[in-house]
Amino acid sequence: MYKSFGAVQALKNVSFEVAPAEIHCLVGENGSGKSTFVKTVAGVHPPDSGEIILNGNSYPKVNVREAIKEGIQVIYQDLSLFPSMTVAENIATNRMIAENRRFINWKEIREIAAKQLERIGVSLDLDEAVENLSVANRQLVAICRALSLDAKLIFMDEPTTALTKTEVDRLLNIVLDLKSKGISVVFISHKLDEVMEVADLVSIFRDGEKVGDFPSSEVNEKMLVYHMTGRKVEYPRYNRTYKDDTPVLEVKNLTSNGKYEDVSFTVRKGDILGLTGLLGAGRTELALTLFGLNPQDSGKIILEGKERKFTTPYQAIKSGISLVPENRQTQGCYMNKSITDNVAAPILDRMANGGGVLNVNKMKEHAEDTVKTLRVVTAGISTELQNLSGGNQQKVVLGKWIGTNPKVLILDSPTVGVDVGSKEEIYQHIQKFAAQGTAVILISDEIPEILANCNKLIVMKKGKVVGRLESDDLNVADVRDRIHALMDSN
Amino acid sequence: MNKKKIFAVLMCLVLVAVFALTACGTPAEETPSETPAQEEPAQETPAQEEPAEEAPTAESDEQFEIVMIAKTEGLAWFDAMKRGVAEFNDDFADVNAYQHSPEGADAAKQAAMIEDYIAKGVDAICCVPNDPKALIPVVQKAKEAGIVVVIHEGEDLAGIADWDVEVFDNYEFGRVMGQKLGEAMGGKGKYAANVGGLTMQTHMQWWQGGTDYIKENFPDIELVNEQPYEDQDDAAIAYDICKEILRAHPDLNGFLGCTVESGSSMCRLLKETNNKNVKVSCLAVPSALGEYIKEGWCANGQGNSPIDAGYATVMCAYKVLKGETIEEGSTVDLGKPGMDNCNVKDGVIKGDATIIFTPENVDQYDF
Amino acid sequence: MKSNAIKKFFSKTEGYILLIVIVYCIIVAAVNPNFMTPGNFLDLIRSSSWYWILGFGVLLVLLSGGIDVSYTAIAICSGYVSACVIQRTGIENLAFAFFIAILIGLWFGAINGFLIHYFRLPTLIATLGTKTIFIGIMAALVGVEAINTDHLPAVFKDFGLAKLFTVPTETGAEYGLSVFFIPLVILGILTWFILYRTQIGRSVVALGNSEVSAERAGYNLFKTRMFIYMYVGALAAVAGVIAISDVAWIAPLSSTMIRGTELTIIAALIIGGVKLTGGEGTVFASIIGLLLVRLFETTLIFLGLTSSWQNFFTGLVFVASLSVTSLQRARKRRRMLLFEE
Repeated sequence: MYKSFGAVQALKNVSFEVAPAEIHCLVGENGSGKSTFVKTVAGVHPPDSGEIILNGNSYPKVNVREAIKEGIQVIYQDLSLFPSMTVAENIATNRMIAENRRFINWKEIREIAAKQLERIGVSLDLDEAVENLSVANRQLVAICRALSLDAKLIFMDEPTTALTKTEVDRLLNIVLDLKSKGISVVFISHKLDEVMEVADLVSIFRDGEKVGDFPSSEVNEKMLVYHMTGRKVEYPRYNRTYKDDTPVLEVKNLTSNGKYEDVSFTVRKGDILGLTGLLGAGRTELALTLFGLNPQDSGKIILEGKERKFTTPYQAIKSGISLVPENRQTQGCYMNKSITDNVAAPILDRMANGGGVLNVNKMKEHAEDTVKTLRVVTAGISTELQNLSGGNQQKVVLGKWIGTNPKVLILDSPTVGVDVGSKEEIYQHIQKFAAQGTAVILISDEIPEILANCNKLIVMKKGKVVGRLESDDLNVADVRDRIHALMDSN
Repeated sequence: MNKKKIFAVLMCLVLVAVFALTACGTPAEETPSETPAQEEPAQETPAQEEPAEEAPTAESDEQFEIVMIAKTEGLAWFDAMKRGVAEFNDDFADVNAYQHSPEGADAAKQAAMIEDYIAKGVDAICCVPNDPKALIPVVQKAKEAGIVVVIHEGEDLAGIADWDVEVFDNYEFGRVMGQKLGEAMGGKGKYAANVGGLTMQTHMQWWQGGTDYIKENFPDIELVNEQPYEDQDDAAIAYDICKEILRAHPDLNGFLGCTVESGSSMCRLLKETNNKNVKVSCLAVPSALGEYIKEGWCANGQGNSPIDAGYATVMCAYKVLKGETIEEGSTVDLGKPGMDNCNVKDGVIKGDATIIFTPENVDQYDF
Repeated sequence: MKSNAIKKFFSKTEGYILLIVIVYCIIVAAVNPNFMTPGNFLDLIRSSSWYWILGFGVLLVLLSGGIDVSYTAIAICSGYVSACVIQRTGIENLAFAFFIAILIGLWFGAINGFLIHYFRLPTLIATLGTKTIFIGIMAALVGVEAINTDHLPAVFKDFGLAKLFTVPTETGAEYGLSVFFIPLVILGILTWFILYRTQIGRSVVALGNSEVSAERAGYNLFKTRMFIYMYVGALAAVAGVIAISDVAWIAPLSSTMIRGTELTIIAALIIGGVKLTGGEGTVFASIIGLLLVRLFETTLIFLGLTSSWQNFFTGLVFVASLSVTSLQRARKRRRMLLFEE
């Protein structure tokens, strides 16, 4: 199959086959053509040439309706649900449309929904609005919706990014169950994923071409990264070399009711403290407290020997604490503003002349500096952020906060949605910055990321600290298993 | 698919037919009065399809352009006044007179419109002000530009404009309204009163006259509202106010309406609820109240002819343009019944053109 | 179980607005006992019927995530043209009056729907434009001269006077339930039926929830949009005919009848609990929201207040109602540590 958009060849000679009752993983970096491929099969984009064979029927190109009729269903990353509608209606709507119904029979809708939920062995309140569900449950609703249309092949785009470990396990069980019923599932991902544990085959895409199919048992992280990037990627390992051991930030018995309790730790200059745990462990909430967005109920925050309590981010930034938030798109930056505006945003007072008038040249200089030091790939500093790749966006966000010259820099999941190549670069920057004497707190649930960057680690579970690892502990061979054991411990 | 197309085409045809019907029907049918026969250079209202009678403009050397700016476009009263202006235009060969009003009774829009006509350089501006005091500066400006300004129903502008033309003595007009109401109520009970707005001078004079008369002559009649209700000359507001008056005062016996809108709204409500306890004495136009006068819902409807008022006002402007002197303390003939022997005093030209509409005579008026 | 349902009801916006309505009625009745009469409420239904009918249409637009400000212009145009046609043809038939009006309403609505779908115009901008276009078409093709009571076709006047039943009062006046109640109930039920029992109605809600999701689900959004705006047009036309019959008079340009109520009605619906950003709202919410605003509008004389107070009250409740819901939501989100929309 071939497909091009203008001058960009998005798919080159791709052949791909899914057998019935097969779980297939489709892996590749951002821009490798995975999404285009799925959209072509689902009938959203017609291919330039090639052939699509569904259930033995050959199509030069399919349209959405034909694809649905042949049992192709795509669950997009945003799930495409209707937030204020009920679970039942969300599940049954697509089928009602496909059947060209004119009138609505609520009893039938509930029956369809109940049947599909039963099929995957989940019980949800049929009358609850979808907006009140957790992400994991929304995903189940989307799966049920796909099933209600007699799906034979379900594509799932990055299904696990927003799920906790238990939720992922439940999803995998459901997928295995679907497989036993003869339904095939294709996962789309850009990283080594839990889903590969259950996959039969892993197909790797690079630059619009399929690199190859591998049985999942043969796939390991190194080879996956190698095939995805076309080169060997070794993450740099961080070692603290800074001499000054006076603590920058001390946290003592910090508690936020219902979020986390009794957390204590110390960060020195040049430290990279890892903070890990599953979603809901309280790590992000802890970071928000340090940044003034979730005031503590008890406990102390001591910054350079002085006790502080932050109730707004402004106070935190003024005192030298910066936070790179988890969600880049909505919290980390202004997507429709230029690089210049973005990096200048937190330090506008430094960018101003007397009287509060902004010095545009100074802003541009600062932006040029940031782009240069962080090696942001961009046409220029006036490019809007939404036109940059995920990795480059993240570099800008990082630069934006590094620009505030923080004493403590908190990074919440800094490489989500960033491809492997860019990850490596971002790690280099973080480590360089720490080596210059900044205290860094790195929140992440990717163990390799923690191991590459941190010289100290705190593991949290359900709001409590369940483990502390010093740099010596982090260098032992079975550290991974230890961390996993801590995270899943009871 | 095909059926749908045919249906769509059919709908289009019907729609065209509807508009054609309404548009062509306008002048020919039972509303001959609606045909304005004058040239309307700056007219915003729709052009009528009936070819307008060519005003005798071309042959005359001395051509006076007179514009009448009424309170608002789209009210029956001022539509009738427009006909009076048009009639004058037809009667005098050396005059190009037309009426053009703002959309919505708004003093600011009116002032802006006068500015436009000053800029255009007309010979005379006649105006029925929404708020006389608000027009003082712009009227002065017109005078400085050498334009003749004649005001109708706005005594506050007397002395500033060339003349103010009043069709009757406002206070006396109000007293008549009050007298008729008191008589209809049998000398006792409660009544409410309404004006267009507290800033509308003529309305307030009528109201003053009416309430004074009742106070002096009918001691057993009680006024329920010390300050009159205001309807902004707007039928929708008047309707709501009247409705509320009736609901809040179920024991009401009389209503003094200084606007046509309030009078007709009140009669409509009385008719709707079959309420014969409330007597209405109000300013009237036959097109709005004729039916109610005949059916007895309106005990007394009084007014004047907007056609004649428009005619007389433009006539006054014409006389000034012609150089005819109008002297203080004398009388002047503005060419219409009740306006043929007007008193001139303090910049005001006052006629006596009150019409009392009765079930017998109401049909003969065409406005 | 039952008390639970009641509690749930009153925790919703509709619920507490209903409470406000009741409390307000008690206050007005305390100040002026004349307020609590059957005649009064019958009259409120009569004079508010066209507000409610317009409200049903607006509900659909708001549900779909749009804002329409042209529907009042449609109401005036279709009602006025219908009156003119009957006046000039002499076909004194109520069904014909509604037919003409609805025809024009549908057409104007179709123009809105078409513009909004094909040119991807923001609904507010599109309807701001078409609002004046509609008035312009009417002015150019039909005229704008007022039709006073004497010239208004009898069919309108009779329709306005017809009642289902009457209640005499001690003063001899008769109040009654206007026939306007019939179209009101029919259209209320129809709107409810469309929204909850038809696929097209669900597509309206779906569109308001998420346009992308609706498109992916396979809804034909062109059909949906055309339906929404044509339905609004038709309802506006019915409301126009009723409003003219109510006051037995029409001045399409100079009167504030219908004109200028577009934002009041939208505000009333939002007060009732319809979400401005789309996707949420019920027929009951629109009825109760409009009821409250209409109460403010029609009880001032009972309270002995001037009309500025009506604006004050409406504004107050509007801001308070929005602030309370928004604050609740923000608090909840803050508690969940969610900072994005």
